[in-house]
Amino acid sequence: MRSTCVRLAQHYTPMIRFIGGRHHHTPHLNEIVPHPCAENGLLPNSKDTIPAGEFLKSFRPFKVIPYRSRSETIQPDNRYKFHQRPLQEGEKSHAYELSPRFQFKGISEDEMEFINGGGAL
Amino acid sequence: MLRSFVTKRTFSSSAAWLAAKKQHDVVIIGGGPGGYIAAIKAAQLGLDTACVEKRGRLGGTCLNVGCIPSKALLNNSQMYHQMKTDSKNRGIDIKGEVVLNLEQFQKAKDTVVKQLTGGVEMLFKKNKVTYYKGLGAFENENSIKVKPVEGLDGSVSKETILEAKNIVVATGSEVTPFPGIKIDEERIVSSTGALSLKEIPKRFIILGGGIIGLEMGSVYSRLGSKVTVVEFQPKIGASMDDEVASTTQKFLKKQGLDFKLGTKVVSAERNGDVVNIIVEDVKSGKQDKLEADAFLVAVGRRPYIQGLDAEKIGLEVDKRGRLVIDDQFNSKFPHIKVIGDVTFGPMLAHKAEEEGIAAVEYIKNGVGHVNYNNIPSVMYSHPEVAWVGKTEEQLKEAGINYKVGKFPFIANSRAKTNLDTEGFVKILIDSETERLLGAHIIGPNAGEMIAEAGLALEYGASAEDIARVCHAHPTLSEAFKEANLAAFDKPLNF
Repeated sequence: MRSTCVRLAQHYTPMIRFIGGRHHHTPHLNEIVPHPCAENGLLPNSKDTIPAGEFLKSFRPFKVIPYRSRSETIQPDNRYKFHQRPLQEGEKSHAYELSPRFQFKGISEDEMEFINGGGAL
Repeated sequence: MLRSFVTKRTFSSSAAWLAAKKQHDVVIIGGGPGGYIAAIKAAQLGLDTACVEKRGRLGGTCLNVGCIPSKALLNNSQMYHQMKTDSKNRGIDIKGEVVLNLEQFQKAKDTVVKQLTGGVEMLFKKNKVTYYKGLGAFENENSIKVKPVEGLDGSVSKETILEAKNIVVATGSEVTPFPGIKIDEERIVSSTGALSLKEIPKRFIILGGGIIGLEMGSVYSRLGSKVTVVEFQPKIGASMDDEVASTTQKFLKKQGLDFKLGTKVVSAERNGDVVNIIVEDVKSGKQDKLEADAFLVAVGRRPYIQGLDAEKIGLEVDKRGRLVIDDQFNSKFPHIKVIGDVTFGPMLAHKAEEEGIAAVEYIKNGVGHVNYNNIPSVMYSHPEVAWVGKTEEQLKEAGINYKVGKFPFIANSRAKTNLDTEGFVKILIDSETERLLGAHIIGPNAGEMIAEAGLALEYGASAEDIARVCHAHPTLSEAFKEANLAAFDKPLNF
């Protein structure tokens, strides 16, 4: 005794035509075909490809850069630590205290005129 | 001189000999969706298979920092949002306050990730795939060197050479950085950092109106953030049908997301706990200053080939860095195949999986199959958006005459019982043959429903074929049936 479902299925003609069974693949032809998603039909070994090494030379890898606040970025340079100390023999606290020989000489009027005139001809 | 030459030769060959050597039929570099599926399939087809992965966990971006954790956050944030805003309507009175426990929220996501990545390892064991934890790189055309990764639990202890008859490259993709913006994964984040923010930002600005940006925007908007999406293009949603994209934008706007379209980001800098962003209108050039507590850079992903030593064997890429292959996934070497995000095609996990299977079938049987015209896309916002096949814009561009069938969820019984009626199903059919050309769904369960459209596309079904199949009542899938009915005839319930 067959169930109703089986009897009904046997009498029903599907409206969509199914092939049924395992897929029978057509063997790939012996030719190199571009990938369907390749731009402009780009193929391996073609002149429009870029060697990976060349591409990587100008490539900037993605990097996570930990945040450092402004106060953290200004590192005190421990090599040059200022210590307040009294002046020793032969030391002056300011250039103005040195003899005129060691002081900065201002630019004279003649020199200024010379520079403004474009220097030596 | 001779002695030193001999010594050098002896030393280098000793070093090579000291590296462990193994042989396999196929070695797969990368344990993401493409790689691990390829590995399992290859093993099932009787091939001695190895898979190399440097992350320490299988599943790639998808399982670890992509699809899976984001869907966990989307689901749970939607539940939280519904309980907070929609429960009274449904006759559920909540005594007290609905409060988010962020720690548990993240833990729930992490638990799912751990379970799934562990599950893939179990599948490897079950199918006898040899799993090497380490960095896989080309030693030559026929062997892969697996280098130990410092600090990686279970990493190979020394360099291991895997000789393989066939190699499948499945190294995936990485986040595309934005020039001039430093990602710290704390306040200025990529999609990876967005999955694990330590607090819910009050102001969350997103650079990029694609699927990743919109999904993350949805999550944080539901959790209470003020979300602004900045997008260079005049519309969101990248490859979405225009009508669906504008409807999606309307729904997301209703949920509180703000959109600045046709706008570019000029700079973004973190200053303590705040990110200062300067944006510029593309057309007018008018600049504006924005401030955010968190800023997501979601401008896309790019192929990942660093550390692969692809240059050692002369593999080639295109201008976007994708490894170049032919239609059999072959690189310039027929025994080296490439699949997934690192090569052509949409960067989708299921596309990589299909390619993984096809590539391995090519290796074993000389034939394989992927239908690139039938790869569905899904956005897991609420309402969900899903599409497969052609958009109206693509059909117009191709000069194909088509008919449209549309059915709104407001007329669907199941959607009404669920009090979730936003969206519609849109079907595009050939005007002459009425063959299905494209399906676009915005609404509840769109991601599941699109599979029926995919099947119909694959079989070359017409709208009438679909409409004459009995769909259970009351289900959301009846909306799909009715849209097809509307395409070739008239809908019954609208």
